[in-house]
Amino acid sequence: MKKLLRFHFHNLFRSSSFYAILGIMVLGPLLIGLLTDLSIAVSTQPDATPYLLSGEDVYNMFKLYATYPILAFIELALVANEDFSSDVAKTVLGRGYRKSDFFFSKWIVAFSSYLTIMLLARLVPTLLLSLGGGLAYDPGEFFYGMAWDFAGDVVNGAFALFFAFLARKSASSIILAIACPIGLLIPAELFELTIRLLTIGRDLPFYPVDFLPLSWTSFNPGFVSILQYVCAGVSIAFSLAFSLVIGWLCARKRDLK
Amino acid sequence: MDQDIVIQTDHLSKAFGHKLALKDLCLTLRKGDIYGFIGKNGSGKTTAMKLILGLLEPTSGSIRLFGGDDLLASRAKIGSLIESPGLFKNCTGKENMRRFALLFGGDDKEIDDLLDFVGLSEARDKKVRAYSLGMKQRLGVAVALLGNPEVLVLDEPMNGVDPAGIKDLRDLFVKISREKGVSLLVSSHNLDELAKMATVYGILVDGALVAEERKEDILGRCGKAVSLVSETPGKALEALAPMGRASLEGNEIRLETSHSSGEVAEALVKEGIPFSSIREETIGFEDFFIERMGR
Repeated sequence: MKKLLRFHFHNLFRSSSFYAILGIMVLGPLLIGLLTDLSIAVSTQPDATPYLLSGEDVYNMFKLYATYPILAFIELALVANEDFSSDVAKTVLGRGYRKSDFFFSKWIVAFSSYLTIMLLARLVPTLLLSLGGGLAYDPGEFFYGMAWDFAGDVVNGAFALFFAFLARKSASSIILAIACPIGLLIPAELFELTIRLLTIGRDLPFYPVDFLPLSWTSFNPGFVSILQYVCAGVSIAFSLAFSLVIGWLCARKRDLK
Repeated sequence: MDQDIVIQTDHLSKAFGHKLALKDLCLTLRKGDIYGFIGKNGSGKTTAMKLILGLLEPTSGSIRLFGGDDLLASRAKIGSLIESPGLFKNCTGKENMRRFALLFGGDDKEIDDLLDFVGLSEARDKKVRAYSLGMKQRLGVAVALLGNPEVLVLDEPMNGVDPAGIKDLRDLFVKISREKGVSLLVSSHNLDELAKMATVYGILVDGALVAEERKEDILGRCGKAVSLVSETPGKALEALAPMGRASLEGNEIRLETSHSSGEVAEALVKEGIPFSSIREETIGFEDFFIERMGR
């Protein structure tokens, strides 16, 4: 397992797609933010103080774009699938490495690459642009919201990774990984509907939607109950367990045709 | 237990859905041999090799490697090249070797030696996507040789390679067997590719191993065959058995033998067995395989 982890990380750190996607997701918002600041500075009247974008402004601007995390899903799918689509997996597994060890090591590396990209994409442009226009109106609340966003990344990434492993070709892997967060809305809504139907007329101590990462961005510090934290924790644990356990069950006896 | 046996399968079968791709394969590869695994496309050669390497799960049957049951540990001593070589196309030949060496073992000196051994020393710093098919196959062989394996399993390694490249690869495999003492299991649908290097032949037809013979035994039977028709085929077969390998095909008896048709006729007359349409033909090495594969 150690050798496999070393092998996969060695390949990741020499992967042009990893650096390209990381670069786009970090430098893209940074460049747009800088150019916007420049436009503001140029158009501001000489005797007035220019309002520059804060770190929070840039962060919220990019959150509105649905395509923002797609590149990270692409990288996650590429890392998960590349050894199978290039037949490297056959060479490795034919030498006595266990399929389950190969799966776990690949899972760790693919998930690490995805989380690294998401974390740096959220943090770096925000922190750098805050040097001009400040970080946020309320930095504590801002980072609190960012932490919930990142928790949502963990859940979405775990499910996307599971689906990426199911495919045998890179293209299919990418499509499944990208479609996964959208596709998961359907079972999530069904779950919500089921709970509400089962509890008509009764008071629930929590809302089913508290399990969904999409709703976590509206959590305000000081107004979040313990049960909401528990629901979020359960969602994160379930997504990781599902991705690892079900993924392992599918991988351990998988024929490499 | 025979210490010389490196790969042995016992009634190994594999089904994909309702289709039985491999049926009761009983194969034996001995140390030092080059086993030529021959069969038409779709006969089950790749399936058999993937089962041996653990890439597919068997439906039934068993595999023993190096006389033991610890397949994972044994597979660490087997290098392989299945279908197309799995390589990092945006990396150079040497970088590919370095990456796989993290798993299979080998330092820079061993890598350079292996690249020299397979004839890729001048192309070591070229990216693999610029390699010809023959060069990729040779790099795949070099990767398979990392960590000094005792066995190489090569699935149609000469597919798509030009004639000069085929000769180079064939010479390389013989060199690997002689200089490194590695046993080889090589599959092909083309007899010419195997004829000049294999020491044992296994013929696969529709998933079943119809013959497994050493080259010297096959050559011993090459030479002549006498065909005839007899009204009492059973008695004729019995009378001809001491003279060679006799078989009944339809209403014709075929005897693979070193005796002439005259000698065969004399033997039948002596026993009072009536016959007709006796003729003599020459069996070449190729004819042996065509006959077995055509069944």
